[in-house]
Amino acid sequence: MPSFDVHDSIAAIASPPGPAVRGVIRMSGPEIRSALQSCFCGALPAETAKRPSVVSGWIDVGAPIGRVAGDLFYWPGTASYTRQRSAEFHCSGSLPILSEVMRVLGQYGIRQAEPGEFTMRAFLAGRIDLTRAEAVLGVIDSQSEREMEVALRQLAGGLSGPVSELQDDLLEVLAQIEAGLDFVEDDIEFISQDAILQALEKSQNTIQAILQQIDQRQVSQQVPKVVLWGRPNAGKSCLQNAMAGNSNAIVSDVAGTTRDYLIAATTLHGMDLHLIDTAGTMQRIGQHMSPIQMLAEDQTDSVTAAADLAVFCADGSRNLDAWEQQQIENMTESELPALLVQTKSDLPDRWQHPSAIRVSSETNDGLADLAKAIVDQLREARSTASNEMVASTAHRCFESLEKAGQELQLAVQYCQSSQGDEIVASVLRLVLDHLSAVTGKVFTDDILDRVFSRFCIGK
Amino acid sequence: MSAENTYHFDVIVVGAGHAGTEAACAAARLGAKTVLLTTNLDTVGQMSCNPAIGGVAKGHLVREIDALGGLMGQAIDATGIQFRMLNLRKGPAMHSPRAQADKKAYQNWIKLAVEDQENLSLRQEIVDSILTESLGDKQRVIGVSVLGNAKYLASKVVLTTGTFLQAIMHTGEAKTAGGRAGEGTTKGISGSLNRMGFRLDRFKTGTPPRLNGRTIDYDKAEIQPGDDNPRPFSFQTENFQVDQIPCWITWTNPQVHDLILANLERAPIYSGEIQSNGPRYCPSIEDKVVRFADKSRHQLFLEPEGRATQEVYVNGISTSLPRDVQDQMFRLIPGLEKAQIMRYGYAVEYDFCPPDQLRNTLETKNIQGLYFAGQINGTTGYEEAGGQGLLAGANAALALDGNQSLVLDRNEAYLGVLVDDLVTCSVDEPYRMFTSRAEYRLLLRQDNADRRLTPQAFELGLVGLDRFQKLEKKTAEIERAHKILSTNFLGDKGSLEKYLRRPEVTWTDIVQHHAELTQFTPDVAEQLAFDVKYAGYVSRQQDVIDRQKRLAKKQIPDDFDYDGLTHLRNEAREKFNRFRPVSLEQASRISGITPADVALIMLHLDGKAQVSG
Repeated sequence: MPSFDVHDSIAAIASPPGPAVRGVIRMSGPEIRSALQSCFCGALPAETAKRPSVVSGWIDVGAPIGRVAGDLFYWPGTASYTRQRSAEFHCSGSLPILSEVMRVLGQYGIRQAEPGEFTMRAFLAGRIDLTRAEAVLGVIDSQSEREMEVALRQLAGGLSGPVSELQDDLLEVLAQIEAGLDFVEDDIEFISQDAILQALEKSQNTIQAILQQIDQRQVSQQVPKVVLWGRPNAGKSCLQNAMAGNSNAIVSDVAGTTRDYLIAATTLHGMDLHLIDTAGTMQRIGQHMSPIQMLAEDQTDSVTAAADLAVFCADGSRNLDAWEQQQIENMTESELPALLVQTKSDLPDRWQHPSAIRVSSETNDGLADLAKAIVDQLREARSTASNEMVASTAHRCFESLEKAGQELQLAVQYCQSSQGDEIVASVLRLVLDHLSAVTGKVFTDDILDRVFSRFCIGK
Repeated sequence: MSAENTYHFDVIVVGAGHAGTEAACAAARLGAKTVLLTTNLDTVGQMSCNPAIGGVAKGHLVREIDALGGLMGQAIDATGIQFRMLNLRKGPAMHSPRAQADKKAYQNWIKLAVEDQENLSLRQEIVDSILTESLGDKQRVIGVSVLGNAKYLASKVVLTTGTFLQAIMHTGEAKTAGGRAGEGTTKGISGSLNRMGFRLDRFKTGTPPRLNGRTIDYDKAEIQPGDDNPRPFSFQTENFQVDQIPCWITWTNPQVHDLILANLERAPIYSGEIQSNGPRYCPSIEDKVVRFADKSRHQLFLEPEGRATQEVYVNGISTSLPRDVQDQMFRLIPGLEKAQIMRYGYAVEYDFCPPDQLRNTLETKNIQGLYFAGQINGTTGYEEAGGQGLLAGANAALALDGNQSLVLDRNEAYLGVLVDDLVTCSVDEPYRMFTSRAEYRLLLRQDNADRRLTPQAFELGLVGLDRFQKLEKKTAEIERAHKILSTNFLGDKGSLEKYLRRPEVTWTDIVQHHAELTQFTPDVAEQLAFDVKYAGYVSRQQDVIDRQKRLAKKQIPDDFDYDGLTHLRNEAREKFNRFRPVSLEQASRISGITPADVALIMLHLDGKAQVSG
């Protein structure tokens, strides 16, 4: 449910994520001054000032991060974009830090802005005309869908799978509870109290695991990850060494993972990135699953799950086998941007593909082209996803999951203390409402569909 | 047409079923000169399907109808033969009254109430067309013409034609035109609706066979008695006493299922003869056997149709299988081996008007003054029909003076949920109320319907001063008792109120700790106890409700031009044009609509306000 109440005070993260970039939190609304007076340590500009001003200070977000230092730009009133009191807090661009600042602002009554809400206010204030405001709002939906994908990948990679599974599980319990409430005259035991509790506890564990995973990933997620995959003998390791250069490549086994990944840190065209060789993975995958699928499904593996780009390597001196052909066909539909590389170009070609980049680790032919293609792809992926919004979306996503987790905890408590199924159901609906920011809205018909397809309701 | 064959009224109601009778009485109570037209005076208020009122969610609707001054609650209290409060093992919001009716007594009671109603004329007429006139580029209704060279003129017409539009009944391979066994169909009105540009669609529903109770062996069935302390539906019923008759339960078995499967192709639904959608929550026995093949038995309720008849309604075995299969089926069911069928089961297909063509007052969008209520809107159930009838009749009468309407919010009443669902969702199967449709279920208890709705009903004139004063007295008592709870403490357990919130603590426990509370009547005590139990959860929903109220204030004008919004997504444009939401709040609840779509409309609404202001 959108709430475009202009009298509310709102805030949003308005900067791309990444350690090199400054983070910006934008605020607007009547309450922001009192909120900043409470949480910002620094000399807040006088309300009477005619012009925007900037001061340095910090916001204490509590342990473990503590003080977040930054510059506060403050517009007293009519001079701002929204013609309301407005401010921008410029600080570190790390998402966990920005999220914490947002959380603190929330404690002082400043809520997360809806997509397009600043634009709406600017329009209402006469700052921009209808055409421009419309244009901004008109693309929000297509953008936010893409952004949610990117945000999910950035947050924990392959997260959309587990989250929609979670939604599905919760809908299933809810449908059964609802059936028990509405169809008391049918001689069906829909679901026992124990089964409800078990299902809720399972979902609670899932959501906790997702949240934890997000937490852990925040630190390591800033550098783009490029995954090399293909048959064991396709030349991935040689390519990795050739690309990362032999001098300062850090090639190491990553401890604590279930697979033998080799990660090389390198810099291509000024961009820091990790090249990940999935060596050793293939033997275990067999013919059934592509590594992309596997990466998407294996959300517990924080190393590869959030890949930004996949590079599929196939030996140019051998004929493509069925599996390789399948992978190449699937590449266009892959959620993850992907490049096709034909290795061993120093040997005679046995196959051709229009979009293949031909490289040889022996002669270094084509390596420059590949490096450029990788960097271009990464840049494009980040810009088409409209990075400015992604941080904000990622934050909203995290916040939704967190709130869903809190409500779910309550549902478990109510269930344990036998508060009544109708009460548990009402809390579960709140959980699903929160999740809907990530997974899409649930309608009563979705619940009833489940009931009617499963149970013979008939009086 | 000569002048003496023209009759003038304020409101005309066509059809005297559960929707029509409530509509006519509500309009008349509001002072409108009203006429109720029926093709047959002997079927006024008839229970065409099961002889029962209420049930989970439906019982809530009846209590709300009663709180708004409707007939249904008092009718069933006067003529019920078995009363049960369902779901008592669940929390108070789930409690729901249900009663078996003496079918004939019920319909006679309703007919008499209609006849006794001031400002209301009841007439036997067959309506053959709806009369309209142009009003600029719009149309408005001016009355109806009836067979026999006569017409009725009024600026408001409420159509409650039930399943009688282009109705066809099926029993096996046999087909008969008609909306109810032994009765005809209404052709003229469907034609009128087509001419006026309404979209029509088709539903089907079914009804089970009725048996002669003398031929049932009840020893083989399980008894289902009424409650020991039966409770009335109406807030007006006092000193409720009833001599109850039990219902009985028996079951189908694999032999019955085999018989049905062997004859499946003779059922019109499976032979392809019927193609329209039926309700999934009340499937025919042939559907149950096919879709839930793993179930070895299905429950059947034997419900007596009255005190002065042997007819028994077999709930749970609705069917359109041929007569000979219906006969054979009962031979195989314990207790019914020798039962004689008095009426065969049948399926009926009928036209309805998809309700997205309505406003939330139940007035049609394209014909001013024309209202629809009941099954014509794609709903099913006496209670759903009665509730819509009451709202449509009241709104028709209120619109005569033009400045008021009766529109209930989703957080005020199941009736609000019902109408809002109808006008904002696509209805793909006959619509029936479930408590799960009400997101604010905890607020909408059957026991507090009077507190939720009677003040508004009094303000509009639907109920008299006596009822309002009675309610005020009760409310004052509840508040007085509440004060005692909140200002008295129980050692380390906090206030009495806090203590009562615990799931295991009852009002009786509280009274033991504080004798002063014995002065309150059971009614007041129950209300307060329920309020207190839910208070914490309800307040958590209040934020959402408040937010919705703010958005609901942002009204969208009728003529809002969605095609002019170039940046609107196509899907959103189609949905908005189809449903034409009245407010941003309603718009935001249409499936497939995103916050950004709503924001785009808001942009234009506020843009216009700025330009004009």
